Amino acid sequence: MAMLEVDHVVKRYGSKLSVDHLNLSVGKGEIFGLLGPNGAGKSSTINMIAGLLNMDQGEIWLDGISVKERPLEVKRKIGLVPQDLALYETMTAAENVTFFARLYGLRGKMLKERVQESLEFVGLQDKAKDTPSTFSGGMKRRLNIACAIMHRPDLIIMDEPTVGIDPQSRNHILESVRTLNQMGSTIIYTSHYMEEVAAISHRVAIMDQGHIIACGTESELRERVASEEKIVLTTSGIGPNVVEELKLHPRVRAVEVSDDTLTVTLPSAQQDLQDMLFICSKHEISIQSLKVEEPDLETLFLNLTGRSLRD
Amino acid sequence: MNIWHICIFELRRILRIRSVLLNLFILPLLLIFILGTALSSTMGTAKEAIPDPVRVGIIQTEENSGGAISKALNTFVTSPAVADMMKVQNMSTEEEAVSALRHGDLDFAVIVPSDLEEQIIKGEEARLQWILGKDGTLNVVGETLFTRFTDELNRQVAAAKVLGLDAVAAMPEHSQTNSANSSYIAVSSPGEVGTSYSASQYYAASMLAMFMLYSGLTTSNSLFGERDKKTLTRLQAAPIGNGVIFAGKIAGNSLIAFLQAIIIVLVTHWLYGVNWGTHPGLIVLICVLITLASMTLGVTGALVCKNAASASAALQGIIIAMTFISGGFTPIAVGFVQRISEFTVNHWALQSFLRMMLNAPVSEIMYSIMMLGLVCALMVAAAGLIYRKAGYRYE
Repeated sequence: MAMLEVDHVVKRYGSKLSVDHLNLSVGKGEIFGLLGPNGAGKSSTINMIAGLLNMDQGEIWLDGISVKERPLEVKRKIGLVPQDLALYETMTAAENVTFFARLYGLRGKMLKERVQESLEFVGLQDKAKDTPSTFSGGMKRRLNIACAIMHRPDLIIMDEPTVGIDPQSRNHILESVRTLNQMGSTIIYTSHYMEEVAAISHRVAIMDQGHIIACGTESELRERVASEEKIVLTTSGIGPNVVEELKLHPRVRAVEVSDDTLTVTLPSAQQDLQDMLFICSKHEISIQSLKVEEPDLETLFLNLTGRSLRD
Repeated sequence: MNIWHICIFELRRILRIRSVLLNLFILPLLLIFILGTALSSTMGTAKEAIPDPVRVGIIQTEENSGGAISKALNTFVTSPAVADMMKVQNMSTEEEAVSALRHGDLDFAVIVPSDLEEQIIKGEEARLQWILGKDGTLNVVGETLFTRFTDELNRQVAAAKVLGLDAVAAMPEHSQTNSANSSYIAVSSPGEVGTSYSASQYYAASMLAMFMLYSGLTTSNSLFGERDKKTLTRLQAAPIGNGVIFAGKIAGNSLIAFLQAIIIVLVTHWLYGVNWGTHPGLIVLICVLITLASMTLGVTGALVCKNAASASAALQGIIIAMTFISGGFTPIAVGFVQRISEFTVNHWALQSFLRMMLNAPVSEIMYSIMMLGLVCALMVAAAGLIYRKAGYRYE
């Protein structure tokens, strides 16, 4: 059953089309990754789902409720973790969470419990009385999350929640995302870090120019570009003979030489790795390192658009 | 309910910013003290406002020194009411008077024309000639007194022409006596005659109006701050309407403006002895109206300007200009400036406060308050239109 349905949504900024008849469906209990370069329409899509932006056409349904018709009811079910830190620097961590919790209707004992629970969840219970101005970047990011989850939303939207933080805080946040999902929340997660999105998402959609250009599980997406793998060898003394012989191999599609690096493109590295190593040893080439490059989401995006995800 | 939460949160948040506390609460009290003390000599009670006696030199030629005009003039200047206001020295030449004026021995000099009596007999208007001194105020006093003397002469000549000399002779001499004995300078002030306000009172009123308007600057900064710090995104993602967010923030800032007014009124009353009059309810009403104007200014700045810095510059310029034009820094006795000032919040706020300080009739105070209300209503209408068009959004 779908938690979120995006149906032919269009968003224009003047004459520029930011979201172009977008269709999307996110199931209940899913962690849904949204990838795309800057200007792909990710933020506009997220803002329309969260009720921050009006759509020009189409409809968005959250748990069967129309965002257009009952925006406040939809907002009550969403927890938004914005890309930018949205915190009051002069108020303490607890005051920040309490303020936003009150806006979601939490009162009295429940309010106190939820505030404490949220701060504990992000590991800031000891910093409850400190102001964010004294926090590290990672701690601020965690507080940013706490302010979005205290009302136990059905859908949590996380827009680049790990930007500019240390690996330890990043791991903490990724672990939190998984825990929140296990606790029953559906999560939409956007990030520039493909590995991060691939690691935690059940399904991933890749957006470009306001469209979804690919959507599926990570393995489904990989299969779309799985026709090629690369064996990258760092060697010394690469001669023209070895390159010629490698090219003569029936399954080798391309051989590239760059300084001491030899890259061989073929359908399956696993199947032909031994042949490649045999040819190299025959020409007395000493191999210093070897790496097999499988296709990733970056490769897929490159294949689909001819551009890099980080462009 | 959410308006209340946002309002209280806004109040707590702003009161933790030291610079705001300094600007809104400490600075006005300091300015009132400094201006009230430094300029106390230029304002004061009615008694203090009476200028020192003017040292006048009267230049008469020998020809007219023994005549009727000379006698009348001597009677005039020696009458008790006039003698209190001037010390007269008789001089024979204009050069002597000019020299005395230059050396500061005289403040003002009057030349009695040698043909004055002749002119009067011919039925022409009696006129004296002035030699002005260095002090404008003392010159005005001198001119006023001697003009009164010539006016009286001209009145008698006119009466003689119309009614005949016999009728004039039959008239009791009270008119001249009265004219000489009564004071021609009545120290008055807006409101009740005979009382006045001190510099501390004046600047307490003008600074209160100005700094309450400055609360609008805090409002504008606060509205921009939510956008710049991205907290507006989170607020608008919460299940509350845009109007609630806006109203909550305005309510919080209004409370701060009102708190500021209470502190300024009470502290100036207790520490500086400022008498705010006997109508606390009307003070509250005026403060409510100034708060309304202040919030309107702040909101308009936040909706019209592109960033906090430009809004801040624009609002400061407007507030300072309105305060200056309305005489908030120093009274400006220029006709067209006073006309323009009638379109400002500060003018009517200041007039309302001053009338209360002078214990003016309630109808007079209410007129100023209603004019203040009218200016506020126009501002609110303009801000309302801008809000409908521009709105308060995170983008």
